[in-house]
Amino acid sequence: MKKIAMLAAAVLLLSGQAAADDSTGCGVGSMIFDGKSGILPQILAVTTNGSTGNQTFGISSGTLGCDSNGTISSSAKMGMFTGENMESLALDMSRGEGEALETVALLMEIADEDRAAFYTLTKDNFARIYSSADVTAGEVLANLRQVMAEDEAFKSYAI
Amino acid sequence: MLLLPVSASAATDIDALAHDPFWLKLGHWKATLTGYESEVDSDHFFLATDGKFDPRAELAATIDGLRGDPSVVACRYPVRAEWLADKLGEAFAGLGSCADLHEWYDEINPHTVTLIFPAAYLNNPASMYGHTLLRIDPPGGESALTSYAINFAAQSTESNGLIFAVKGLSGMYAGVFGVMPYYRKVNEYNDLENRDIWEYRLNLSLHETRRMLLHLWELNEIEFDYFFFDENCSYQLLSLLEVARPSLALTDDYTYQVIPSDTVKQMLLEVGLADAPKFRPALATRLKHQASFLDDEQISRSIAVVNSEFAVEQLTNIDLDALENARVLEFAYSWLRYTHLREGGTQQVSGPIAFELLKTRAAYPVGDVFGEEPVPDTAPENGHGSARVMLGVGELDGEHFTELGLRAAYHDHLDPAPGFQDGAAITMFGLKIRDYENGDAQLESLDLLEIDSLSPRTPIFQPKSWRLHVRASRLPGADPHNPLVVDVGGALGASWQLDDSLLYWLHGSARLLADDDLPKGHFSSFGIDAGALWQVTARSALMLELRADRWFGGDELRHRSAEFGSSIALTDDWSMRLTAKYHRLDDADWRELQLAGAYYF
Repeated sequence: MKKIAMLAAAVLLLSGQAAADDSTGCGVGSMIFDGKSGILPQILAVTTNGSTGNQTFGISSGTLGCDSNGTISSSAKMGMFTGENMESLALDMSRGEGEALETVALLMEIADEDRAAFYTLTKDNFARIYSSADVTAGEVLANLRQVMAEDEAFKSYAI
Repeated sequence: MLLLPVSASAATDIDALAHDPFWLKLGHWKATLTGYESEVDSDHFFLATDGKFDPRAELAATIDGLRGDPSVVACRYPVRAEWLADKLGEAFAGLGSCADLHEWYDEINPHTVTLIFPAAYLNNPASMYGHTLLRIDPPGGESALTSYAINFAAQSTESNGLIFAVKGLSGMYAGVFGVMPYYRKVNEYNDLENRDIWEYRLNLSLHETRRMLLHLWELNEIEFDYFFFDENCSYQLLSLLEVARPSLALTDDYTYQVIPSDTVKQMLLEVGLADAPKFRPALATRLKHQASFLDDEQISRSIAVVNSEFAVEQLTNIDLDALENARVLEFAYSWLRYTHLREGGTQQVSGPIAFELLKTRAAYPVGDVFGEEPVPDTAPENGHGSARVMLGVGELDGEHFTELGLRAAYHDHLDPAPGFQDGAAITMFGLKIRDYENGDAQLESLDLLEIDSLSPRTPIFQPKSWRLHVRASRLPGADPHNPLVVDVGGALGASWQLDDSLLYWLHGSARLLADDDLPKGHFSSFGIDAGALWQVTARSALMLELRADRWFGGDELRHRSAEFGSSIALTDDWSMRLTAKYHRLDDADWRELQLAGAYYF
C-alpha cells in the first residue's frame, strides 16, 4: 500500500518533469490536480517505506531533470517548486497567505518589508496568475512575472 | 568553510586506529563472534578487497589512497580524510579541490538538523510503526519546504503489497539514502498518506551537522540490506547521528527491533531538542478541523460540489458574511484534494472545479479563516514504550492462576492512550504463559499479529472499521487444559465516536479455530461483535465487548460472551488493568477475572 503511494508520488513528480521545454527549468509542465494517484486500499500493509527509485543524491548530477550543468538555478528551483506544489500554491494565493506562497516569496528573494504587499498582489490578481483550469506551472510563473512587472513596487524584482 | 585546519597528533599506530570506535562507525562495522562485519553491502564502498570484514585492511588502503591518489580518495571519503589527517598529523592534498562535493554541500547549505516523524494515519494501524527522516535547514530558518530531506528507504518497484512486505521483512531489498526537497515528503506524507508530521529540531552543532553531511556524501549510492524490523530507516538515521556526535552509541541499544517512535524518544533524549516540536497536520486532520466550523448542510453541499452534483455558485450565500463563505469554499477545495488523491481523480474533472472554487475564494477579502489546527496533547514519542511485560493474577471458574505476558509491540485499547491513535491497536509477537494453582505453567497464547482499526465514521469520512488476528491460543472453555488451537479471525463493520472520548462499534465477525484435537479438526464461527471504549480521562479507560456467534464443526454451538476491562495509567510506563469475562458456549459457561500490572519499555 505504501508502495502504491510511492508509485503515485513518483507519477506526481514525473508528470511535472516530463515537459521541461521552458528555459525556466523543470516541473513547468505540471497542471493543477495533475497527479494520478492510486486508490489506497484498506488492507493490512506492513509498510517498509520503500521508494520507486530516484533515491540518489540527484542534486549535483542534474538527474532531477533540471539544468544539465549540475547546479540548480533559482529559476529552475522556482519551476520545480511550483510544478510540484500547484495545488497548495493556488490555495495560498487565493487566500493571500500560506507556507507555499511564503516559499515562493523566499525563492524570489522578495524583501521582508515587501512580503505583505506581495501576498496581496497575488490574491488580487489570482485569476490572472492561475488563469485557467489547465494552466501549467510555467504559465503561472510567466503570469506572475507579468503581474509583478506591471506593479510599481515589484517591477524591480528580476526573476 | 569546508576545510578544517590539520593538527599534529601523536597517534600513528594503525592497529589502534583501526579499532577506534569512530573508524568503526565510519565503516559501519559491527563486532561479530569472529571479528567484524560491515553493515554496508556495496562492494565499491571498500577500498580494500576484504574491507567489509577487515577494518584494519580498509584503514591501510585508505591511508595508501590518500597518500597516493588524494584528490580521488579524499573527495570520496572526506570524513575519513579529515579524521586521518588529524590522527596522523599529515596534510592530505586534494580536499580543497572536490568540486562535486562542494557543489552538493553548498546547495544543501546545512545549518541545523530537524528530525521528521510522520505519525500514524487514518485506518492504517500499521503506520503507527512510523517512519523517520531528517531535514537539513540552511541558515535563516524560513525555508522548511525547500530544505533538503535525507531519507533511507528500500529500493523497490514492487507493486504487490504482500511480496513487498515479505521481501522487506527478510532483507531482500537494498536500502539507500536519498536526498530530496522536503516539500516532496510533505506532499507524500501529509497529503497522499494523510499522516500528521512532527518536526523536532535537534541540538546538533554546526560542526556535528557538517560531519554528518560529509559522511552522507561517503554513503552516496551505497547499499545496506534493508530489514523492516531492525536495519530500517530509523536505524540508519541513528548510525548517521553517531558519526555526527561520536560520543553517541545509539545503535547498541537495539537487539531485535528498531521501532521508529522508540528511536525518536532516544534521539530526543540523547541528542536533545533545540526548539519546541512543530506539528504539521495531515490533510485529513485539516479537513476534520475545518468541518468543525461548518454545519452539516454546508458540508454536504461542499461534497456535492466536489462530486459535480452542484455548481460552485451554489456553495456561497450572499446572506452569509465573507468569513463563512470563504470557509465553505476552502473546505470544498481541501475535500476535492482529499478525494482526488484518495480515489484517483483526473485533471479534466478536478481541475475546473478547483479553478472555480479558488477564483471565487480569491474574491473574498479575508485571509486565514480557520486558524491553526489544534496540536494533540501528547506527541507520539511521549506515548508508552512499545514493548510490554505484564504480570497478573486471576481465576478461571474458581481456579487461580498467575499470568506472565510479553509483547514485542505495540499498543492495545487498555494501554495508556496518550500519543496513540484512538481505536487503533496492534499486537506484534505477544506471548502469555499461565501457571494454574493445580498444574504446571503452560502456554496460554502466542499472538503473531492482532490489529484493530476501529475508525469512527464522521460526516466527512466513512472508513471501514475492521479487526484481524492470527494467533495460537487455548480453545475457549472452562477447562484450563483445553488444547492450543490456531485461531485466525477478523471482523468488519462500523464505528462511531461520541465527543472525543467514547468510541463504539458493531461488526460482523468470522473466525477459524483449528487443531487436530477438535472433533472435525476445526470450528468455524460467524457472528457479531459490539462494544464500546470509554476514555474516561486521558489516563483511564473502560471497555465493554459483547459477542454472539455460532460455531460450526461437528456440532453447532451457540456462543455468547461479555468482556469488561478497565485500566489506569500510573505513570507513562506503568499501568494496571482489571478484566472480567463471562462466556457461554451452549450449556457450559465460565467466568474469568484478572488483575494485572504492566510495564512498558
